[in-house]
Amino acid sequence: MIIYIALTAELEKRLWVKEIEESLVRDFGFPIRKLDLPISPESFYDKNRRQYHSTSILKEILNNTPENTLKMVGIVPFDLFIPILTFVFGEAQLNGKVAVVSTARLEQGYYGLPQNHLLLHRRLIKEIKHELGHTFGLLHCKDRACVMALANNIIDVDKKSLNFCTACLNLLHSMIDKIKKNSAK
Amino acid sequence: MDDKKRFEDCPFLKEKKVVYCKAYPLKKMLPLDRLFEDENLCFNKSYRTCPIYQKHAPETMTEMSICYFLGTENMLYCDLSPVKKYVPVYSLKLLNPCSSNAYRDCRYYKEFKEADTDTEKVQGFIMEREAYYCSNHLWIKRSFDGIKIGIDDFGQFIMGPIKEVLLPEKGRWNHPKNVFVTLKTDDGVVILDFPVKGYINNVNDAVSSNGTLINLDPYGDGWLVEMVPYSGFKSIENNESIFYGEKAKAWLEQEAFKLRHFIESEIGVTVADGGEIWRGLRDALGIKGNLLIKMFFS
Repeated sequence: MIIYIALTAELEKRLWVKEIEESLVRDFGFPIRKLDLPISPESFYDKNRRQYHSTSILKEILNNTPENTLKMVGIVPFDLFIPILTFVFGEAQLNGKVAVVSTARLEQGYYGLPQNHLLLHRRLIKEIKHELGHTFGLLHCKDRACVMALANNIIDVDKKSLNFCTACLNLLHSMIDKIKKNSAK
Repeated sequence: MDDKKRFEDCPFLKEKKVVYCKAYPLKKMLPLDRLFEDENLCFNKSYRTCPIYQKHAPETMTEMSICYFLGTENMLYCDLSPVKKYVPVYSLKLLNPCSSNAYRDCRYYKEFKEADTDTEKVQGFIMEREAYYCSNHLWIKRSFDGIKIGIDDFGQFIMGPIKEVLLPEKGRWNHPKNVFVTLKTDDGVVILDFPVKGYINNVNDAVSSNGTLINLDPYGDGWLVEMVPYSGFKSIENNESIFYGEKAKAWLEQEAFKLRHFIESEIGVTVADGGEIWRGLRDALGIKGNLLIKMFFS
């Protein structure tokens, strides 16, 4: 059972994928593998919103998961939306298999500020952990410092830490144990 | 555009006098209030020693108390933006969000408003922390001699532009099963019952004649009635169908989920982390507006 990180070729060149993988292994305890993102974004572009429809991308990722997939997170460089919200940093299937995270609004450049690669990775790891947390059944946490706290804007993302709070971590571990037990049977 | 009009707009649009060297090839602007005029050679006769002055000044130049090439200009800037970017005052004669009501949609302005600890956003919908929320999207707040009632942000969003409002009569007792308010919108009529038994001591006449006040300021100018609850405020605090604090947030999150699932068929339940409610959503839904009203208010 593997957690896949699927990226576009452009992002793979820019991101420190190894650091991201290491950070995820520590929290989730399953092997992490990198994969090319198997989607063509054009079909998910909404001309009126000038953004990409997150849930459709999620569906497409779900249709392209390898057989041994436990979870799969797609990382995309473009701005995502769902019809109800102005934008999303990411979206995940609750208790499901797939998630998607956008780097568009995690970049300092989006806010008219000089690029900061370290900050981008910090934010990205938080969002990947957050969305993966949802796929393990975790809901939004009311502890603002927990990585599962809801973020409505980039300030909220920066406010939360890279870690799960004790309650979320316990829940995550119990979900992971359950999965490991089921697979051993 | 006159000065008075300009400063009635975004409260964070500030003006500052800057100085710059007219002879230097780059227009580098320095705020006047940040300069020590006594120490700066542009502001005393030492300017004659400046190499830029010497290069550009004509030989016949008469001596002045400050440098001939010292230019000044009034600039505008956003006090909230992390980067101070100066814009000449004259440029605001163009269509500009800072000098129109559009500043309310500005990212920096909205972030500042959200930092206000009295309100918070749940899936993009505004909630006032001090308010209690009923399942029919009425809010209840303590007032001077009783309670104030209005429609929450989610409720007004679902209804769309409110055309007519029929409020209850002042000076009467009402029961939870009595009609509290009737609201007419483009997509249908919404009838809401009283949340608690009580005596109505005031109604908001401004809303009766202008229903859009509810859309524009649901927790402020858009309030509906003031009343004295029959069993005091405890009847609200102890009412299990009236939510407060974390319970209210969880309830509103569920309502937002319901809205999302109505709009798009999903791959099971998905959770999103991100922005705020897209206010163009109702228009994009077209004929579905009446179905939304049925879903949340019947």
